[in-house]
Amino acid sequence: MNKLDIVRMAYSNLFRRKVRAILTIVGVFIGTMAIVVMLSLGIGLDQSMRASMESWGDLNIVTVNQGRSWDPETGETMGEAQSLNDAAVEMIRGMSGITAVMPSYQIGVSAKYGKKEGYLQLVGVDPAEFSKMTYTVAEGRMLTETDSTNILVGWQVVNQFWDPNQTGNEGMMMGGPQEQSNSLEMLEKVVYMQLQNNYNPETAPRKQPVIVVGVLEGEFKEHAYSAYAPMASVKKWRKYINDTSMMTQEQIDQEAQWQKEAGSTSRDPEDYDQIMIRCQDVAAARTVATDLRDQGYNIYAMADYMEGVEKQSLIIQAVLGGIGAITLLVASIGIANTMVMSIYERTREIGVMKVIGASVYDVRMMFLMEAGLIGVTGGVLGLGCSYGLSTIINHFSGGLLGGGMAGPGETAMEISVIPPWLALFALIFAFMIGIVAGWYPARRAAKLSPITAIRNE
Amino acid sequence: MTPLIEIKGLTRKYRLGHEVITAVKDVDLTIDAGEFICILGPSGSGKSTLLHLIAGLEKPTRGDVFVKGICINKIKERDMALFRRRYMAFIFQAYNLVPTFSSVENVAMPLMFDGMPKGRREKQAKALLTQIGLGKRLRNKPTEMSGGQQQRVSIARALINDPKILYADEPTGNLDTKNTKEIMDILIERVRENGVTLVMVTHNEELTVQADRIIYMRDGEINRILDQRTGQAVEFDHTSGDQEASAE
Ligand SMILES: Nc1ncnc2c1ncn2[C@@H]1O[C@H](COP(=O)(O)OP(=O)(O)O)[C@@H](O)[C@H]1O
Ligand SMILES: [Mg+2]
Repeated sequence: MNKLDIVRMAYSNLFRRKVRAILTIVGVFIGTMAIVVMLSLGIGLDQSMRASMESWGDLNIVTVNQGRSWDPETGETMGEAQSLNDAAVEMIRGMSGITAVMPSYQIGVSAKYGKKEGYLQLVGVDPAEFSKMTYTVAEGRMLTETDSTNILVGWQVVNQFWDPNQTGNEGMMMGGPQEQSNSLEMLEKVVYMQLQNNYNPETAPRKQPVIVVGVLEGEFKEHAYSAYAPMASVKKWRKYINDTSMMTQEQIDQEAQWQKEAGSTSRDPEDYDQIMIRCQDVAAARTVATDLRDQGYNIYAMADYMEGVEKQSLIIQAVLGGIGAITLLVASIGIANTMVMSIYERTREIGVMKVIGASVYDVRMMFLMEAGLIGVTGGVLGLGCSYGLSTIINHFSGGLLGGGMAGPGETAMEISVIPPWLALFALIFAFMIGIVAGWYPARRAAKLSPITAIRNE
Repeated sequence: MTPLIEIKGLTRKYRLGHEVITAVKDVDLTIDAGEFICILGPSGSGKSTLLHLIAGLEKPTRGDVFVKGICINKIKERDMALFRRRYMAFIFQAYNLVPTFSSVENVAMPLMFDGMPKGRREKQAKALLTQIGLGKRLRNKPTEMSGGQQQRVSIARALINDPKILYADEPTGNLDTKNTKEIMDILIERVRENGVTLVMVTHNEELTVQADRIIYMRDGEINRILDQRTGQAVEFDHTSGDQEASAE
């Protein structure tokens, strides 16, 4: 018997009892819909959690700061602090799964921009490495090797400046969302930095003009609050700020006392303030973070927090999927029942078919196919309606999920997401449910002795 | 030359509660190709059971059935389907057509199990139905036809595979005299013209007129075989175990 005929026979047999067939299919239909919609909610939740994490920082980036290693779960520090020097950078470059390593010096300085006064968090970087970190400019240009007093600013930097002559603007620094302005206005403008020696606040600050040549993309990312300048320049400015030759004897004694208490040796002033590592993917970021942390580095990685999120969303999906699966399981009992009934009714016919040449395989396949057909039909209908239901849920939830967590300007996340793999999985699962439910009845039909079937008058 | 069918010591017992019924008892018989055999006997004498055993639809309690020298009760269930499709066909008293199928679909069914595509097999079925006088009933369902017409559809279904052996269990049992004659004519024509072997069960003596041999059954045993071609009869006296031949 060829396959087409098996399907044809199964189809015509199924709809001999229309009401019964339809009711059984409805069972599968509801089961499929339950499983798809439940899982789509789980997936939607998972995606929006990931998206909101990504809106805060890049998951592929691992940051190494000055200081001692600490456990991201307990916050406890451990081990000896490691130096962030060129040897460390070379060691990190040798690790696998890494696409860029960017060491940097950082200074925080008061600055003037037009009439406004404010504060600049300045990061000194190598222009080439900076590009490799996949930062891009919204407007203007990136830094080049020849730049020295040119800087890039993040999207929110402008909000760290305010006009001292205007009253009632203390809140500006926090930046209420309604009066947000962006750094694009700073492009091509000069910012005067006030370099002040840390140990000698009485001396007048050194004025250092810099020109904004580009504004970085990323409205709410971590880097939106920083400015970037070539490393050599920042190193020079930093040296002035930290110049210990201006220290008083009292300050020198104090410093020594602190270092003694902290139990750390004095830090080499040539050491970097931070090393940023860009990894191939989240998994690589996670291993790199763990490796470096074990070596005693002070690591911050967004990827670390992914694990908890992933675990949590896996549990949610398992619970939701389980509810759907139970519904489909109940439907499969319906299929088995229908098949047993129809075999009982058609005992005689099965016997006759065997007498006129149907093989055990033919009979079995016909009934299996009939059960599979119930599964697939219910599955297709259920999947179709799941898309409808999913659209309705998303329409009425209206960014319920995303609105709360994502920053302003983010598009509202969908609460119910049906990826193609889920659709395919649902269809295959519904078909398999049919096959499994039909297995025993089909076996029974195939085993019927032709003669008892005929004698059964 | 080996006979087409050879039956040796065939016995079939049924357990009914605590009782054991011997439906067929120690039957020996040989059937040659092209013969028309009638199994005649009263109701409950074991005719149907014997036919089922010969056709391999049922396993014997004891004894063997050989078709073309092949012991069919040793054939695996899997290969039996192929054997049935190639060699034999069965005609039932109650027609046993699939109610949801048209005449053409019913007749084409054995070819479907043989894997022939729909177009080709239905063309063959139409030709055969037309030949058998049902050209106007090709698309009718069984319920839309008379008993005689249904039985003709069932005969067409049996003949579509060109079987070597036809088994018929009271094929005219549900029919009137006119239809009975028509059905018998179709069957006998197959034997005489196409050399098909026909083994037919009946309790109606009138239908045995054209048979080559008549097998008389009683209480599961053959007690007489009459060869109508020669007029020779063999009697079996089961009480003494002897057998004697006599001429009529
Ligand atoms: N499946 C069965 N179970 C029990 N008894 C059976 C079965 N088939 C036949 N018999 C018994 O065997 C005997 C012969 O039956 P059967 O071959 O149908 O006779 P016939 O066809 O000559 O009327 C009867 O007594 C019948 O009751
Ligand atoms: Mg009978």
